[in-house]
Amino acid sequence: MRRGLLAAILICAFIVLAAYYYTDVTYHLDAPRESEVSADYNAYVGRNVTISGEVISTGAGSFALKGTHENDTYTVVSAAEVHPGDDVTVLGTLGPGYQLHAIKMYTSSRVLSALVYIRSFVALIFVVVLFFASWRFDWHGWIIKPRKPSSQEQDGA
Amino acid sequence: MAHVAFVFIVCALLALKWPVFGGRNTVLVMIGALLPDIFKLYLPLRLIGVNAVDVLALFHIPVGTLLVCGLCALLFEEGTRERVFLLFAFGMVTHYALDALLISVTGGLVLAFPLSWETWQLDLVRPDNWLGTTILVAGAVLVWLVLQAWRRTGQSSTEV
Repeated sequence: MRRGLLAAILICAFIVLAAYYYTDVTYHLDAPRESEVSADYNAYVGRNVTISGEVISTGAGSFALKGTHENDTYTVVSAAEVHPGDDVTVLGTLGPGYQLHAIKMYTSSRVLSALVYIRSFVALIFVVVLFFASWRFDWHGWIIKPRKPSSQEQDGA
Repeated sequence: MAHVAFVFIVCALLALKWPVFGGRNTVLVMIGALLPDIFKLYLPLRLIGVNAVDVLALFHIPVGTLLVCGLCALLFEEGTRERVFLLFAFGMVTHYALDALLISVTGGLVLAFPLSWETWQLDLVRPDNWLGTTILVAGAVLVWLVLQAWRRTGQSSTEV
């Protein structure tokens, strides 16, 4: 009973805080993101924004970046070396006509980005296996219990 | 993977003085270190066209992770929940400590939400860096091998 009440309180607190974050985050961003820019492009011209996406083509002193969320294509003015397929996040000043003058940029090849997720998945599987090697879920009481009592418990401590 | 390897090394060292960090409790700290990354569920959701970054963001903010730590601790036996919660919370702290080192263009970690929207980042390590992760994993394997050898030596000297 007490456990259920505590769980309900924690879930409610989480939902309230998540809702607060979701509704207010756009007012507190130093640099608006693609979703905000797409909603009202002209309002953000001349301001610093952050756009993430995939490089679709390169040119002299610029490259075309397709946004992750809204699929708009930006021309990023930057001398940095990028390749088609790279994942790029750009902090830059938004110009008219979907032009972005890069101030700061983070680039990662598609292969390296994918490998980060693969190694995270491997770590997750490892931890799950390790967890169920020492702990078990008791379906009757909805409780997680140790598979073996600890040495202290065995000693009667 | 870096988070898990880092937690293993830290717990192995701490367990030398405080046994509570060793044995089956180490995996609880590891889970605590992975809880903030529930946020990354936005990636598979993105594949089906759902932008859930802001909906899931609280998982990757300390106050949200602490609430999740509390919820997860409630799944354990009464009497052990406080300890389990603290082990999860310790894992969570190691997660944010490592994440604070990463390079970020989008601002960084919102560590003090809901009190402040200020973001923090040290901008030292690339998120796709392989050297750091490899060093941590190699360190964890080395620590594990040393512990195994130490335990074996301890057992054989007790048997004598």
